[in-house]
Amino acid sequence: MIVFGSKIYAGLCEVSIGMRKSVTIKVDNVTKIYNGNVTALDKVSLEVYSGEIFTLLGPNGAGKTTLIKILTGELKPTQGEVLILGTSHKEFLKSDMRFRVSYVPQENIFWGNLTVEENLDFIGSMYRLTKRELKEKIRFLLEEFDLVDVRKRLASKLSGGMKRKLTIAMSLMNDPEILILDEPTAGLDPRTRASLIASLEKLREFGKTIFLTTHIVESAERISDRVAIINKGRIVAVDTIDNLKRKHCGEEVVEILYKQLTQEALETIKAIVKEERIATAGDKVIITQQHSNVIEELLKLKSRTKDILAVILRKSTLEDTFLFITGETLRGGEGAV
Amino acid sequence: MLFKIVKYKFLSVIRSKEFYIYIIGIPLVFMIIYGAMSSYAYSSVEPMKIGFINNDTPLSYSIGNSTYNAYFGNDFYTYMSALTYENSSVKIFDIVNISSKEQAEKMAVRLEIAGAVYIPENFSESLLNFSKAMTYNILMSMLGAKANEAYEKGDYDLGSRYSQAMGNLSSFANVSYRLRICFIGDPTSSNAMTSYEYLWKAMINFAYQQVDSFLKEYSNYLSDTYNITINLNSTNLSTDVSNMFSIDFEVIGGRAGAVKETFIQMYFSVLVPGQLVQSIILGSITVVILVGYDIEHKILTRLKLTRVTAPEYISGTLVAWSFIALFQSGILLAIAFALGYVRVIGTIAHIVIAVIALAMAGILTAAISLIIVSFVSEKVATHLVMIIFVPLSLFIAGYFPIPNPTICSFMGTTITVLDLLPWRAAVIALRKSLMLPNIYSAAEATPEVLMLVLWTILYSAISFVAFSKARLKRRE
Repeated sequence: MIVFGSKIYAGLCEVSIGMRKSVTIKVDNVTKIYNGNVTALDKVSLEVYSGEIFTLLGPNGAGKTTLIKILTGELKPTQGEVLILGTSHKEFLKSDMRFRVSYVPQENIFWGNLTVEENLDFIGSMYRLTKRELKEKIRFLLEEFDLVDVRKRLASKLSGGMKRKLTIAMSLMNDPEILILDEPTAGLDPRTRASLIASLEKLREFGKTIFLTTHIVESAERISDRVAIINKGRIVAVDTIDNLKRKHCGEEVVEILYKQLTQEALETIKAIVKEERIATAGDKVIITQQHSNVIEELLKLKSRTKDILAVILRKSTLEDTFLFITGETLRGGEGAV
Repeated sequence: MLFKIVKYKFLSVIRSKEFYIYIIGIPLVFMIIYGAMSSYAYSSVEPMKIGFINNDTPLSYSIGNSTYNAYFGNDFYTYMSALTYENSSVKIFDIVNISSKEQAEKMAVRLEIAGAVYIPENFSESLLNFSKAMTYNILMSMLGAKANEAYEKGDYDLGSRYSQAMGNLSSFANVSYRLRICFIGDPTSSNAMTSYEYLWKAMINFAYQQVDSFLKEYSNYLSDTYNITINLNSTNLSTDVSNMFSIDFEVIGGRAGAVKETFIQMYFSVLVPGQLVQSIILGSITVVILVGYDIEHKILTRLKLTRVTAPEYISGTLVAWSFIALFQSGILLAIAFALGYVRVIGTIAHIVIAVIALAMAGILTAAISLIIVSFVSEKVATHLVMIIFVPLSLFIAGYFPIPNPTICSFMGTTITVLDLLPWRAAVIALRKSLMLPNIYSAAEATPEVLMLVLWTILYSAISFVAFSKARLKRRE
């Protein structure tokens, strides 16, 4: 039994890196089949711990949004069980427990003809906050999300980044323990994305559990405590980013960029690297770098052929990890392992 | 929570462009288009039943040694009774005598008559003075020219006789007259407007006849008395006559002594309630667009995650639309006031009845829109609402006469096809409370308001069930 806030939850303990953490979301063997024949989720299982930022990483169409819709009660799983804050999904959706979770979908959700402040006031009122609570929450969120200067501006007149921030701020009006965000950084420019990530990191500091989906590697790498990689409706890996990289592609990879990658060129590379793992993405060949002599061999190969544009030794990324796990790229391009 | 839903729904709507386009702009455009068309809508060749209120006083007058009796009010009644449509033996008017303006207004409201002609007390005196004035204007210049001509020819005797005749005429120089009659009617009735037009023609011809008759009599008298020749050239007489009197159109319920107005102004002075309700009905388009926005942008999905319940959300929406209906009505009423369409203000009770009718019409419209958007997708609903409600709003606004067959009678009340349209009760209640407060007491408008409340409760209940199940149901 562990104490979480003022509530007591039983049987949801998890030991991780020597710390006791409570499981806030538990997805157990969940399958979702649309129209009887389209499998969007296939026996998905995962656990999200309190106070962490958990990222579900996968390409478009992998099943991320379906899983979120199941968590928020918009969809019913065909099979499997979901526990949220220790409560069965059915009970959770029926009870006031559901107000301890907030959901931010891919779209910006607000009333365009209301001001920023009015939007926050409206949604806060829908949670039956008192006048004082409303006032305090609005002031706090305006400050945290840098919306103070635009608080009197109609929401429809905000920039893309501001709109996203407003949507997230609105979802925090009920002070949820769990925040579920679907592609929060999609469509944002790098600067706004960085600012938004900083805001989410702050929320983690306040003890919020954040479950987010993304297909943007940079966002996932920057923010996540743990990542689940989902592809074609299946969870193919769950771990911290460092563990995932270490396990699947090492800390460094060699990237060979061809003008046009041919089967013959690939066979040549395979002959050189032997024990290393190879993946391809378009005209790129990516090799896990376990042995130091491989790079020297590859550089010699480059000097012999004009087809190779570059041979680069670089830090591995989540994108590489995804490629080595799934044989596909996150952006939907063809790949192979 | 309900207050916040109402407040923010209201703000959200009145800040939207759709609001001003669909529910303010369109009624104004229709106002202009159908106003122009209304002038051409009268083509009946059946006798029109009109009332005749004759308050005229008969009089006698002399020309030389002859004495004449004049009772022009009575003559005008006879003249109008005999009028027939052009190239037809069908009489234009079926005239009934009425004792007072009040009775005429009530009969016109009940559609027992198309309208009523009101002949004032001094009609004979005015028409006689008018004839004298016209005679003076026509003969004076003619006699003056003849006198000059005679003097120039050296015929001083003839010139002198013309001058004496002019001296005789000078007694008419300062005759004053105010030749006005009145027509009391409902300008939304095509028969009333047609009657009014024929009344103008009849009055012009009748006045022409009287002036012509007096002119001839007086010319003969002068010719005989002064032994002069007068060649009457009366070809311009009808034009002169038509420009020198007026027929006021007194709108039923309008203030006494209403000023002369244009046809379009008259037409719309009674159409204001119809326009208000039309505007509210067109609000259905905005309701569907905004609910569609809430659905498409997942606002409803978002709200389902909050503590708001379906009844709270729907009640808030409906109540918000009652305020929106009052807001838009306020704008249109202000325009109607500015244009002079609304001229009578009733008691506080009348205003309360009008406010209730407008608010109910707003709730009713929102409820029916929510029902529609419950059963079809928001995009289909928008098209459906436009197809159904735009023409419906035109019928209800009464821009043109439409057939209204009787379905049955219930407890002495006739129920027609239009009565089945729930907004019709609002139009009638508004006509009574906003436009005809000097005819109807506020209590007399209550049955329509009660009917409207019943319609509103019925549709609101359906919308609660339908919208909750279709759009706001939480999955468990």
